[in-house]
Amino acid sequence: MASRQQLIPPTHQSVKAGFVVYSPKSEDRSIVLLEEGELIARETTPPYSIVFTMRPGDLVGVAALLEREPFKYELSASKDSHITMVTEECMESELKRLPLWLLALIRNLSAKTHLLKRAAMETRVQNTLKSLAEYLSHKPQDTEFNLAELIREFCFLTKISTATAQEDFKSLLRRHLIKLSQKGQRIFCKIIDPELLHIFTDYIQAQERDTAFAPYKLSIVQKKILVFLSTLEESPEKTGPDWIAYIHEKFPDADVSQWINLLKMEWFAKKDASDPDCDLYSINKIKIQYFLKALRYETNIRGVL
Amino acid sequence: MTLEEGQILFREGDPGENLYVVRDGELQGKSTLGTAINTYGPGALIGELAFLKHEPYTETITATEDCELIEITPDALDKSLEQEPAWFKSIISFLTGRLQIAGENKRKSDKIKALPSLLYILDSDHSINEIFNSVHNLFNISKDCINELLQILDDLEILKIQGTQVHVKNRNVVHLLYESILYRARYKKTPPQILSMTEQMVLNAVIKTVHQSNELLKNGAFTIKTESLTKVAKRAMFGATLTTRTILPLLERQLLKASIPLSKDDVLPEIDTIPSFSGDFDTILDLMELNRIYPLLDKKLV
Repeated sequence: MASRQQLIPPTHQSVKAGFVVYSPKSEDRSIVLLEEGELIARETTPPYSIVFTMRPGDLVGVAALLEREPFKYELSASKDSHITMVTEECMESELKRLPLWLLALIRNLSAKTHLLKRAAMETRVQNTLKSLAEYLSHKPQDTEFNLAELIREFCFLTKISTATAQEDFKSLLRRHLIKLSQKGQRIFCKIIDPELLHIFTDYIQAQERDTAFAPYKLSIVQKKILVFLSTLEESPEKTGPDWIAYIHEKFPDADVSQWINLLKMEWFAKKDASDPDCDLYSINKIKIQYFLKALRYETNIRGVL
Repeated sequence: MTLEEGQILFREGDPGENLYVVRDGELQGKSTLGTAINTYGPGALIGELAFLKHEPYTETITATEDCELIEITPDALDKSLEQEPAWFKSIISFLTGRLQIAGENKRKSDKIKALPSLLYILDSDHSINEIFNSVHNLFNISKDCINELLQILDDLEILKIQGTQVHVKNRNVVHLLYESILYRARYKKTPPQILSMTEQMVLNAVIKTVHQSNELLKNGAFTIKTESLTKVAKRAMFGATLTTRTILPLLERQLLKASIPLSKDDVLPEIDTIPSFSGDFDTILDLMELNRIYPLLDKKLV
């Protein structure tokens, strides 16, 4: 517990209508509490508009005193008023008397507000490359886009800086996930395969979660099964046990646990997903193609070209 | 008080009571509303707003190692404040209120900023999970915020949420809305797709005339007789008169086409001297839908 030191008292003042209580030109900082009457805060440049009106119980200047944020308005009495001024010395003497946890609480409230205000102006995006890959994955394939327009749209959507976006475009170019070409003064960007960009975002997401990306942790048997399933022209419907028997016949190493793994990776889709008792499965061609593509372009995705 | 590694201090939604100061060790805070993980080490405070405003805790706090904490009860706060001057309490409530407002403003601003990203990825029907994933990848916003935005778009009848699926009612309208927002942000003025009241009234009369006409659309294109249009306009334009001048901006925007060329000098022909007007019906319907939604969207967001 902090020792109880002498408090420098705040000043109480009675002011007449028109009295300037605070001017931004003044170097003194203080918190102004209105006890009675009315104060108005005006801009200091023409047309000197009223920014807000203070009623009894209102106070201003906390941020100016505690966070050194400038208070840029002139404060004057619009009616005869009674005010309390908490000066820097007064506040300091008060803060010194407080228990440490209360002092920390005040500092924390102030710091958190400051952080929130700053965060509202910054981008929320933490992984800008993932954000760009997601953005481009929604663009059509093989269309030439003006790069400057793409960057402008992407930066508007994400509030990411142009310089960061440009670096991320270079990163995708190095991975051969996009193509750039120049025509006159303009640079054009072509998306080679939107799905590849989608796979790339999933890969980054797995890295962020510190988990292995499913296509890159397949065992040899799983890879063989994947290739085999992709070569099947028809996607027959079979029950779970029939599929297990079918796969086991082709790949003797594959057993029930392998079937469970394949289901987890969504290589098979239930005929009726809404029916929990449905035991009829067919090959999920979309997922099979996704895994194949991820494997085929592994060096592009990993960026180890 | 002490906590062992893995022990939970409190859960998200628990009624807010005490404030905790970390003396030793480390704790992590996770909220269902976001993906961010907050870490609290020695000197950090946990649960300030819940403590001061008696609101539920906003995250679940788990000790990631053995911890020592100081527990501050509301009684301790009351006792401390009793010893302070009255003005000091005002400053505490001011700081608390300001932090709360900053949090609300941030949340509101995030929602407004996330809308274009959501519209951008709504290029087709999706499952809600796919939308969460895409918008999160693109803009890093919470599920809760995306849900709120989806609900707003559902209320405006732009899409329909059915179970786990989102059905976009009209992709053109979503695209037009996205383009309008983009234009407004870039040029800081009303987008060209937004029509004046008079233009909307005229198009409304055009739509009613097409509906009343028995003629079939040819590849989505319509032709209406001026005589029919002026009759409908008398009722549909709430007292305003349909003249060549009122219809001119729509001709200039190429939403309507007159069956005879208008002279290039200042004198416009009387409307009844133009036999008919034509245009693309879907384009007009989509534009009118955009103009219905656009002014409502700002109100819904703020």
